[in-house]
Amino acid sequence: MVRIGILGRGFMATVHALRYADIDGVEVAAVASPSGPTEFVSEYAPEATAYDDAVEMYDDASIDAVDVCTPTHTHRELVEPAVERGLDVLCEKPIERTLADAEAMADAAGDAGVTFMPGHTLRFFPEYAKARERIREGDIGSPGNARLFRQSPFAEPDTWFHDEEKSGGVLLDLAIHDFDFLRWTLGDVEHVFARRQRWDDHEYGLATLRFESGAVGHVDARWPNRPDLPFVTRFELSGDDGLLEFDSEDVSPVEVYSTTDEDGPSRDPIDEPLEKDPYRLELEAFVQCVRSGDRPPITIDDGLEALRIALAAVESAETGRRVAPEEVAA
Amino acid sequence: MTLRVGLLSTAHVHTNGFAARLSARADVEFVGVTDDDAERGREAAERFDVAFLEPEDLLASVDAAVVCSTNTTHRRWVESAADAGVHVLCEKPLATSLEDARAIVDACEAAGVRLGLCMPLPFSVPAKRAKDAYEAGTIGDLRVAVGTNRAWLRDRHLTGWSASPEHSGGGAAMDHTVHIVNLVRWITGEEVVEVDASFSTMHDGVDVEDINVLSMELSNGSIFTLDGSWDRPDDWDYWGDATLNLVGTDGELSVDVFDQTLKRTREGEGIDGVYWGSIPDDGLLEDFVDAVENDRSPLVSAEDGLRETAVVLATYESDERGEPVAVEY
Repeated sequence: MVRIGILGRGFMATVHALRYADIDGVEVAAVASPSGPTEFVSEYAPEATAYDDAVEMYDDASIDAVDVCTPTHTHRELVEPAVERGLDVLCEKPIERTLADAEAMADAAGDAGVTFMPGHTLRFFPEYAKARERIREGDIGSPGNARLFRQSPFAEPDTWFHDEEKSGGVLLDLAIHDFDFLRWTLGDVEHVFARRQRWDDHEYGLATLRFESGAVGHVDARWPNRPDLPFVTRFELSGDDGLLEFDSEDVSPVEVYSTTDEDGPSRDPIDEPLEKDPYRLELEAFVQCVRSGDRPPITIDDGLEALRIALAAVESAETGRRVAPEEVAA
Repeated sequence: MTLRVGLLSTAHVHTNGFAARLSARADVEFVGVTDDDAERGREAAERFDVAFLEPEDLLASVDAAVVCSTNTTHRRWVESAADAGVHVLCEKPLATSLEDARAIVDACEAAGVRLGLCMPLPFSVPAKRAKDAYEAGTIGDLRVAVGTNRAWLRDRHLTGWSASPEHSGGGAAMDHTVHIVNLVRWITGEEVVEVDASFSTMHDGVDVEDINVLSMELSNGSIFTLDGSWDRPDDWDYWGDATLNLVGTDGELSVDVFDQTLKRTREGEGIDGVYWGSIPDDGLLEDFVDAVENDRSPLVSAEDGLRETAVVLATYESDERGEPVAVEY
C-alpha cells in the first residue's frame, strides 16, 4: 500500500483525492492544511488523518509520498522538509513562484535522492499526447507554427490566483501548461515576448515564442472573471507537410438538454468522457514511480525549464523586451 | 489465470486489430489461428507470430476463440467451437438467417459455453455516459430516436467480401444495422417491433444496397430511424460515424461516439480525423475475458445477437415486400 499525504484542501486537492480513491494499492493516509482539513477529510478522504501543520504530518503520519496541491509560493517551504525526510513528491505546477526557490527545492530533492514529479497534467491529456505523437511520427512534417489557446474563467473572485506575488498571474500559472507542452513537443525555447492586460480581476496574457528549431509559437492565456464563459482549450500545430487542429468547443460526444436537470455533462477538463481521465493517469504514473523508484515521466528539470519560460514571459511583459529563458535570474 | 485464445478464420477486416489486442494482454495467451483459406491463415499466423493449426487442433488447445470469419460461416465456426467446449467472441452480425442465429444460441446453451459479440459501442465512454444520463431519467419518457452509422465504401467493402452477398449475406443493412440498434436496446431497454427499409445502390460496381435508411417503431411506441449507409465519400474526414439522438418528454441527449478526434490536414492527402478518445475495443475484450472467467454473460450476448439479427432480416423482408414489416423474433 502506497500511503499519500495531500497538502492543501482546494480544488486540485479534491480532484486528486477522488482519483486516489479509485487506484488500487494507494491510500490517502493524511491531509494537511493550515486552515484545517477536517471537512475535506470527511468528504473526500475518510481514512485520512487531518493535520494543521505539514511537518507534523510528515513526522507523525506514516506516509511514503506527499502530493503538493497548495498555492505556488508555498511549495519550497513545504517540499524541503518533506524530501529531507525521504518522502517522494508530486508537486503542482508551477513548481514554485520564483526561480531561486525552485532551484533550491530541486537541489534539496536531488540531494535527498527522492522522486520529484512536477504535475504538468497536460502531458496526460490524450488530445495533446496524440498531437505530440503524430508530430513525432512526421504527420505535419517539420513544425513551423504552434498556436495555443487556454481560457479558464474564475469561479470566484479574490483568490490567491489574483495575487501576483503568490501566483505570478496568468502568464505563469495558466500559460505554463502550454509552455510545457510546447517545449515537450517542439524542443527548447530561444526567447519569449509577452504582453499582458489586467482590469477588474480579469487577466489576459499573449506570449509569442521562438524555438531553437526555428519554429514560432503563440500562447493566448485568459483568466476572465466571468463565470458565464466556458473553459476552452485549442491548438493549431502546423508544419511544412500538414496541420493538426483541436478545439474543445468542437468536442461534445455527449450532450444532454433536460428540463429536470439544469446541468448536463460539463465540458470541464476534469469531466472528459474517457476511460481514465488525465489526472488519474498522472497520479498512476506518480504512484508507479514511488513504488519502483523509476525516473518520473516528467522530471524536476522539466518543471524548472517550464518555469523559466513562464518567468521569461512575465519579465517580457514587464520590460517590453524579448527574454530568453536562460536569462531569467534566480 | 491465463485464457488461451485462438482466431477462427482471418477473413474479417478486424482480424489484425483483434490479434494485436490479444497479443498485448498479459492475461491472454494467443495460441494461434486457423482458416478455411490456408494460405490466408498461414500469412496471418506469420504476421501475428503465432501457430497456424487445423481447426480441430486449435480448438483442442484453447479456452476461447474469436470468430473473424465471413458473415455466412459464423454458424459453422461457432458450432465447432461449442462442440469443443470453447467459448466464443463472434463478429457481428451473429448470423445471416434467423435459423442460423437460433442454432448458434442453442449450440452455445447446450454446450454451456459463453458467446459474446464484437460490438464495441457499449464500451464507448461517451455511450456509457449517455446510458447513465438516460437511466437517471434526464430525458423522461422516450419518444424519438435518430441514429447514424455511415461509412466509407472504399477499402473494406470494395476490396474485401462485405459487399459480396454469398459471404456477407447482404450489404450496408447487414453490415451497419446492428450497432445502433444494439445501442438503442442497451440504453433504453426497448425492442424494435416494426421496420420499413429504404434501400438503394448508388455506387457503380456494387451488387448490394449501399444506401440503408430504416424507419422503425420501438416497443414503447417511440419512433426510431437509422441511416446505416456506405455513403461517405472517400475524402470524408473519418472512416464513418456512430451517433444517436434520443428525445424524451423531459429533454434530449445526443451521443457522438467518435467526436474525440483531432483534425489532421496533410499536403496532398487532404483532411482526416485522428481519434484520441478511449478505445472501445479494449473494453470489449476485457469484458469477454472477465465473462469467461466469471462464468457470466458477456455484455453483448448471443441473445442480443439473435434479436439484432432478427431486425436486420426484417429490413430485407421490408425491402422485398415494399412495406413495413413486424420483426419476428
